[in-house]
Amino acid sequence: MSVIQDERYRLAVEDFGPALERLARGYEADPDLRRDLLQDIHTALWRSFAGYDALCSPRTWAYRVAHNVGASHILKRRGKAARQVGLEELADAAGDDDPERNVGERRAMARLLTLIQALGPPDSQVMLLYLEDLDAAAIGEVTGLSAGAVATKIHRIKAILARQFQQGEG
Amino acid sequence: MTTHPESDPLKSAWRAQAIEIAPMPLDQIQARLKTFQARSRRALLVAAAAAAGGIFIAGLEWGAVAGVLWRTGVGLMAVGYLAVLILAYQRTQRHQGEVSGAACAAFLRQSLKRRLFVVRGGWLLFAAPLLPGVTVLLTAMALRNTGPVANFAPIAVLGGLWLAAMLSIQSRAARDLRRQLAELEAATQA
Repeated sequence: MSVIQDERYRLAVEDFGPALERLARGYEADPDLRRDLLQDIHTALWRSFAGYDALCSPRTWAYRVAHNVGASHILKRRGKAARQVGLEELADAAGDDDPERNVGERRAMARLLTLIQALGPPDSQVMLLYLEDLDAAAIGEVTGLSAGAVATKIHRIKAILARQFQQGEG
Repeated sequence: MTTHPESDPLKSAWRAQAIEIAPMPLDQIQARLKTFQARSRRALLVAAAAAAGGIFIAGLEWGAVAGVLWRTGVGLMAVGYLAVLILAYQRTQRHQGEVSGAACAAFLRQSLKRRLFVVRGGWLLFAAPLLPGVTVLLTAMALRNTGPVANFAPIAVLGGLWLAAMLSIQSRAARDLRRQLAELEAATQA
């Protein structure tokens, strides 16, 4: 079993390793804590493959485990971290934006990370999976949210991103 | 709903971010697991040492004062320490197995419900095994001295203030958790 577990983990990291690191960025702003979180995710992923039931794809499984570790991390840190907001509140706040701050891809990415980190799960999870280019059905499978809820959240996410970034570029 | 990342500059930029952390080799994972298990064992040892200390003191106190009530209190305290140790052990074991491939909403719901249980008074479960012993000991002390009211009053006031502060803080936390659970339910049923 251990050889199969090792092999499943190796393949998952090969396919989704970079996505897991981006996911960790969405959950933790502090670089040292993020490194710790990513190591927790990798450890959990390896352990999880001992009980992988193949009822879902390895991609869905890997994202579920990683997001569950991320959500646990958020819940543990909630007392210390800044208050998290919902998509609606974030959409309202987006209107106060100064377009001149949206200069350069690096700055845009930093702002995007700030947006994601301000959201709590499951909104942040939907946003991260959307950015990884998963479709609504795949996001629903990972998160367990209904197709309608995922579609609504993606619609709101797109509107927020458009207001935050595209207007700034224009 | 899906767009090709190439057609969405933000998705492209997101996926093009530089990767800073090297993949984690298996021996590093094993080492991390061992560290985690060692930390859990240490926490358990501390709890065991505290319980052993409590039982030892209870043993010393057993013969210190004559009286059935006092000795009953000491005996209950010793049993209480053991019960707290067992609870601590069970909690450590539960946390060691906490890796979940369940859908995120189900996992989140379970985590939120567990936290809600704790803030709604579940934390008292960990103190509860000591309460009978403390109550009997305090009663024995009070009866031996100037009377129950005079001895209990300051302790009761302090205990009441502490409990009121805890309940106020935890009722706010419970409200926040209930809101999150309601939002999650709405999102999963929509």
